[in-house]
Amino acid sequence: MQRWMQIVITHPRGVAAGVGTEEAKAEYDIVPDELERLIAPSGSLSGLERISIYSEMYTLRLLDVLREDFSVLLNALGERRFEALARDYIAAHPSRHPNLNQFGRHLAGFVASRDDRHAAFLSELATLERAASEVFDAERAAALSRVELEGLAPESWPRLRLERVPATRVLSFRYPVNRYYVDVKEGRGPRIPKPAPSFALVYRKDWIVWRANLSREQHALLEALATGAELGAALESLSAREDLDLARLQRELAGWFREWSAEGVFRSIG
Amino acid sequence: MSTVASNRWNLPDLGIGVALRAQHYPHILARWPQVDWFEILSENYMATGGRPLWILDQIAERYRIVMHGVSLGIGGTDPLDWEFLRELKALAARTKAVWLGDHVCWTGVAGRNSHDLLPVPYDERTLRHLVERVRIVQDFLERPLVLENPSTYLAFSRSTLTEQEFIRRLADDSDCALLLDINNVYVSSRNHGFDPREYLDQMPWSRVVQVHMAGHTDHGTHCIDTHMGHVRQEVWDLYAEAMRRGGRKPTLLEWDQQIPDFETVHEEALKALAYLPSEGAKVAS
Repeated sequence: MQRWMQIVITHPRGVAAGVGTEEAKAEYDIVPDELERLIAPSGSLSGLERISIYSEMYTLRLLDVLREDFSVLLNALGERRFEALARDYIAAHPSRHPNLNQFGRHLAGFVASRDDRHAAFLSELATLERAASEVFDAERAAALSRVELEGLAPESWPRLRLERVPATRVLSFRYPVNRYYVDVKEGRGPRIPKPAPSFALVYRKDWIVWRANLSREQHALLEALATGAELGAALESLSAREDLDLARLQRELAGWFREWSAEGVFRSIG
Repeated sequence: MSTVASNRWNLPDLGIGVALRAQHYPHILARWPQVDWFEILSENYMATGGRPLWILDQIAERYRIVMHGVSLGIGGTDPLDWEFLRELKALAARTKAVWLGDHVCWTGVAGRNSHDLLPVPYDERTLRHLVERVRIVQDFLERPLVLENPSTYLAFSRSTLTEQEFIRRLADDSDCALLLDINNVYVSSRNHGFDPREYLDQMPWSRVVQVHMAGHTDHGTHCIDTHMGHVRQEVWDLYAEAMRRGGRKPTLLEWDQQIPDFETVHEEALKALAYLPSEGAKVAS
């Protein structure tokens, strides 16, 4: 009974369509007119109308979750296209976790697979919004303070291993996604941008989620450190990268670490 | 308020509580209002290490906490989710929850979660299934499970028991506790055409450790338990009947859509005081 009911109330075209699927018929081989063999009518509603209440609530509930978690994607697509996308996503990736904050975790990949000329940009936008949700829910960890960082002996820096706290994400995009996000949030009604590489750090400070633009050099360094490499080895690994301004990297490195430690990006050492 | 209530576990009468919702965090953290207790939606504080849990820790230091879940799926046919149960038990220890519970329902099958409280057929086979699962869960949690009567919008043709018979036998056979949602009784009575007072007559009151109140939406042909708006007078009237039958019970207000400011919600909850019988009044068991 439960398998049958789940199939019919989660069918994207409603209960009557769900009852007619092979999957549902494998459980109960009935047609919609025979539904009352399973679902009793009330004084005012048929069996079909009664079970349809659950079907409608199922979709609306999950649509609301996606609208809330991907509000900038919603803005980019408009209500009609977003709802079509969300309904397809609900059918393709039904919720499997007790906490609804996990529901949107496959949306960026799903958007990327769509036949849409802006799919690459929209997928990156979904990636940024999903990263914000993940950072919101990430485990708390003691962060390396600026004072702690400045207290380190200069000779110890090359051997330093810096691990980011769980509430951080370092992202690389083909489009200026964070700029678009800010423009939407500040009500500027931006157009879908042309490709232009961009990099972002999503992090949490005082329980608020922030997004910071990164330079290509900052992104490369954070990614190198994320491999577990010591700082000296991480810098060495970047020395052959022709796309990086290595002089800038050397010049600004200390300032970056002061900034990142002030924002609580790295775990406390020891 | 925290006196001993008339239930078989001697769980305390916590007084009048409010369902904790994120919209009210700033007010609570700034004012620490005088509230008897808070009920949390368990899943909101599981699979997260972020701000909600940090806030809950502070609130749990100052108030009594009861945990109320929606994803246990005690009526489901999938195997019990032991990872979920371990997290639930850990959260109960963390918050020093006075009790914890869920609903007489299923939420999904084959690993899926509808995030809805789906009805079960009320028959002997389903009853045996639930009794067995409730016993297993209670053994694991080392405390009685507090199960709530759901609001339902359909009835299965194969049901052979009334909801109240089913719930009474479930509670007796598994030795679980009950959370009586008065609004759900009213909503289901409208949707299924039964007399809500007869429903109350069959409640095993010594097993009822908590009562829920909430608003609902009346669509004419049926009612939906939306937890929106003020509690309707007919539901308060039913609450008065319940209190006359079962005596004072810890009572909690849920308000989940178009949520107003905290004081409005708390004032709505405190309306229950006008319907409570005096302590020591003679009641059914």
